[in-house]
Amino acid sequence: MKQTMLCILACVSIFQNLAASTDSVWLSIRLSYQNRTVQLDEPSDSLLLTTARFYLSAFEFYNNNRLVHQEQTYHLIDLEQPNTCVLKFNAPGMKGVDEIRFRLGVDSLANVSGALGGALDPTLGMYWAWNSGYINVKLEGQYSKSDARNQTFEFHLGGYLPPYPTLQYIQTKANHSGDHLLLNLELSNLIQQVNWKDTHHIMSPGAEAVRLSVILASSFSLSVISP
Amino acid sequence: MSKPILLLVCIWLSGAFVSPVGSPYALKYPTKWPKPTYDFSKNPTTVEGVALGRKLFYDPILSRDSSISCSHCHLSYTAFAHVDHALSHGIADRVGKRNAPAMMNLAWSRHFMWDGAVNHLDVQALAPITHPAEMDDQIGNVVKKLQATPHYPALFEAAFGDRKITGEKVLKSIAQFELTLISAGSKYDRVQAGVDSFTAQEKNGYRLFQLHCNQCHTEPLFTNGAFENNGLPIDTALNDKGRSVISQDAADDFKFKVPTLRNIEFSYPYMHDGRFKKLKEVLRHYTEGVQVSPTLSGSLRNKITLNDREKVDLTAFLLTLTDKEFLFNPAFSFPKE
Ligand code: HEC
Ligand code: HEC
Repeated sequence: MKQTMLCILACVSIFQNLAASTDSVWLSIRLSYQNRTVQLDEPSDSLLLTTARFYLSAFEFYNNNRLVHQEQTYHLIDLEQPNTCVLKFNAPGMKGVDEIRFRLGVDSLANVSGALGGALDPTLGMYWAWNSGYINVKLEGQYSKSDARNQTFEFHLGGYLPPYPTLQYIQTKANHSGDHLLLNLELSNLIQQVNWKDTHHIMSPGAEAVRLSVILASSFSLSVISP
Repeated sequence: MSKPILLLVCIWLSGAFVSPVGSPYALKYPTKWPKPTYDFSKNPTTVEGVALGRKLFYDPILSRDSSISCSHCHLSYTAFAHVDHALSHGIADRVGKRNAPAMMNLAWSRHFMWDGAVNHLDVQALAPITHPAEMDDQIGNVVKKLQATPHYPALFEAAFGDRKITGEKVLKSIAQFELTLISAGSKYDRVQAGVDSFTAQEKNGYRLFQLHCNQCHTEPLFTNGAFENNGLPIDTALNDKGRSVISQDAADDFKFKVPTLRNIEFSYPYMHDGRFKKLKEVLRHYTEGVQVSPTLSGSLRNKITLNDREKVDLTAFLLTLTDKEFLFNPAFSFPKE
């Protein structure tokens, strides 16, 4: 009985301590096309996006080149679910961030570790059943230049095995530091560089999946929403 | 004061992972065998987890129209292979491309499926559940159906401490059951353990086996776990390129995972497409039918010659790999409540 009381007391004090010493950084994630925000199912120019889901993982936060926080976690961003597009990171003393480093996709260890839970649960539709491995990025929709029926496209980018590993390492810096940052993924480069004649559908690992992943990786930018 | 804090932090952290509850289920296998490749620390087998996995394995709820279960294609009495059907058929009788392999000693496998498309036992079940020619459902839907049954949430709670069903838990429990499918009780095993002995015929067959077959069908698991081209003529209707479909490397064209030969007496028809019904045909392939191609395995480049008596002896040895304890183990068959 005395033990339980102690436990409860300890518990309360831990949480109080955490609350007092923990600072947070928010990261809002946005997709844009020709610098205009893209919303699902709403055509912007010649592009209509119907699905946009991707994994961001292994975040590192920097302030003035100093690492202030890192996490070995996986986040499934799904434009369909606005709550997945705002990430909150807590860490004691984390105040002001001007640079983040992260991965676009799921690392090879997680790809070979069997059934995983949370953001990596295979029920989330980001796992290839017939050729084991995670889909790092799913982009689906329509584009006026696509030669496919109904001008559709489906890019399921993934694959961890050499010679076609798709995981991307990204480093992006804002002009100054802040506690609420905007991570923007601009799709213009990707749309421009797709070969719309014959690769409007990518559903398995390979050279094309790697090429598009590299383009996406260079399309992220970071800015400060509130200092 | 410091003790309770430690305790608390531990409980708190452990909540973040699926952790098994229930009583440990120890797997038994001969001490001479290599260590399993399966990482049990991430999915320790428990009595409750295995029982749940077994129930799921035999439950057609895993398929879209609740018509077929895993056991539809993997029958315990035939070493979990699909007998009589060269190409396993599933929902609406759509013909699959490949023969269902026997299932045993999976804790020692590094790759799954004939071409190694699946890289871990846990995620193997996703393939039949989502393959349109097999069970044709999505794992998310399966989870919803299971959650809505009166009995499954309690079984998941017994195995994983929580009534909430997830894809991870479904897959891990099926894997737990599959891990228990250990075949190590054949006459061959008894001879190795020194409690039985081969006949003269079996002994000669064993010698021939070690000479011609053991490079690929390596003892004691009777597979080296590798991908090899054993020189089968290409079936142009299926044109199945095997491993290279996954590795995207032409050097892997027509290579398939070396299957175990344990319980081979019962796991016919043979080969990835089930082209041979009898061991006699298999031996004829190895002595007369091997096709030379750029990816043919080195160990089959020299012609194997076996006279009729030697073929009989080799077959006699292969039959010593039959494990009746395994085939008729009540713990592996349909769970009667
Ligand atoms: C319609 C028939 C069918 C059903 C139903 C089916 N399987 Fe299979 N199974 C197959 C075929 C065919 C293969 C080989 C596929 C390949 O190599 O491409 C296979 C392969 C496997 C393997 C790989 C064995 C190895 O050594 O590589 C395992 C394990 C397995 N199945 C388990 C299951 C489980 C668990 C279920 C139920 C969730 C299931 N199967 C349902 C036909 C089926
Ligand atoms: C170079 C490696 C290699 C050698 C040597 C070899 N095999 Fe095989 N064996 C394989 C491969 C690979 C398969 C599967 C091929 C396929 O389905 O495409 C196989 C399949 C079989 C099968 C069918 C198993 C099943 O479950 O369908 C039998 C039986 C068999 N081999 C027996 C033998 C015997 C007996 C010998 C010796 C005379 C032998 N093998 C030598 C690689 C080899």
